[in-house]
Amino acid sequence: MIEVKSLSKRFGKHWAVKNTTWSVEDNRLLGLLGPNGAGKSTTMKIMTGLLCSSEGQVLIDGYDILTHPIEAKRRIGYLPETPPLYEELKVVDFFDFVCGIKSVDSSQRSRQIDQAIEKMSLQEVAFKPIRVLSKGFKQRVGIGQTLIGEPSILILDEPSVGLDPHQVVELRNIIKGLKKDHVIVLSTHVLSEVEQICDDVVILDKGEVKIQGTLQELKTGGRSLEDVFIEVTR
Amino acid sequence: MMSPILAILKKDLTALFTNSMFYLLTGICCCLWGLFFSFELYAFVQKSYQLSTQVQQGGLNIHQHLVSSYIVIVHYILVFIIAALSIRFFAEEKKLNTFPVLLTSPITSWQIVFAKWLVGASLIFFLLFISAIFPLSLLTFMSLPIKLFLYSYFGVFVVLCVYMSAGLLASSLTESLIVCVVLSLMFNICLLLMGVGRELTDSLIFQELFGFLAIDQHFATFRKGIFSFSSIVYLLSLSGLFGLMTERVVEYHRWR
Ligand SMILES: Nc1ncnc2c1ncn2[C@@H]1O[C@H](COP(=O)(O)OP(=O)(O)OP(=O)(O)O)[C@@H](O)[C@H]1O
Ligand SMILES: [Mg+2]
Repeated sequence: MIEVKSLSKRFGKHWAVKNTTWSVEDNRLLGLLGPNGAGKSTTMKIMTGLLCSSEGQVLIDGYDILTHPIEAKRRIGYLPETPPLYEELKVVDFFDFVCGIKSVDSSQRSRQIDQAIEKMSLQEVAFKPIRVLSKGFKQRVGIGQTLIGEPSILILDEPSVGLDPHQVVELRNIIKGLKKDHVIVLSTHVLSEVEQICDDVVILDKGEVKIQGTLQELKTGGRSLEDVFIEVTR
Repeated sequence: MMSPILAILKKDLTALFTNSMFYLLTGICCCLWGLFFSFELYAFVQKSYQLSTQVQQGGLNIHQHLVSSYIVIVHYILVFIIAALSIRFFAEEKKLNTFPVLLTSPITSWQIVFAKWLVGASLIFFLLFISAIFPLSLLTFMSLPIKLFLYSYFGVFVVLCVYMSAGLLASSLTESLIVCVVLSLMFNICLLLMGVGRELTDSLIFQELFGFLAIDQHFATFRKGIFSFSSIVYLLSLSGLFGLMTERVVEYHRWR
């Protein structure tokens, strides 16, 4: 479970996130939506401990990311906006490295690496240096990396960017599958994707929560998600 | 506890040893060292020949007149190489957007910095090992004072660790590779010049103080074959001080 409590983040004089409060229960998938510059990525960076909040707190399964960072981070798999990839390493070596920094037990390692490779269909590039992969494959490596360490929470910043239509469908199925035993927060600009997989939606604009609720709640009155989005972020 | 540190060490060394730039730098080092070693050897042979015609007994001390001065050259060259390699510590991670992997994984900034320190120390060890091939090749036809040799090499290793830690700090401060190298060089030149203060003051206390702070003094002690604990403690704490500052800077990244 993730709880975001009156979270604010200031860059200089500019408030990128202003007093936002929302939460996700276990086994649910939350879509974090909003126009460019709304504060989605900033919120995610704070949730993963990459940035410190200016005010407010984030609780990951009850652990405050600021005061108990190790416990909290152990539960998180994070895909940043630009996938973090060590270009010189082979895909398997990169996954092995992630196993290492997440202190995955050595008896579990090869199984988890195989699983990540299989889930993201990376078999054909597993032994290639990441540098030579196409953008979509790099994105898949980035998503595969989040699965290592079997975190209970996945935070994915625009995961479907750069994937081909087959992969978008496949990723959607993977994410649906992961929902069984994960809490997932993803940000995206593709509203149809949200309608297909998300349970909950939070729409941010200029750092503030404009509307939040379950997908059904938002779509009451026969409005489409697009209508709601346009209306609240006008 | 150790697993993440070893993972970072392994990752960085793998990345480095698959990088052609690294081999180029190592190659340049080898050429320079080989060249200087030949010069030194030539000078040494000349000198001992001259001496042998004048004095009857006892040759030149090979450690003092050949190995020791060679190690000083190795050390100067490595100071520059380390400055160039310091980009690998943090600057490149930031530039290539891979730093978030480290910052969001369940490890402390201490572990990150210590792992990077180990990467630097292993690099120095590797490069010093290569540099030692030249003097060790003399062993095929003559004997060397091995104890002096080992002490000197240990000394240069510890001294270079200090320079490397300064590079670590420089690397954490910027994401521009050029700024990183320049900063690293600046730190290293300041460290090199620390002994100069001794010449600038008349006060005996300050002379003593600068004498102790100067890294080259401690280096000279090792080259004389003296295993000085206070030197090791001083140099390692200096290195640790840079590590401490680096940790603060890494942690500061979250607060921007
Ligand atoms: N490091 C930073 N320093 C200063 N301002 C920043 C920084 N990072 C983000 N911002 C500002 O914070 C605001 C929110 O940015 P953020 O990246 O969170 O937006 P986003 O919702 O992810 O947008 P997008 O859809 O384009 O990815 C923006 O106005 C941005 O300019
Ligand atoms: Mg974003």
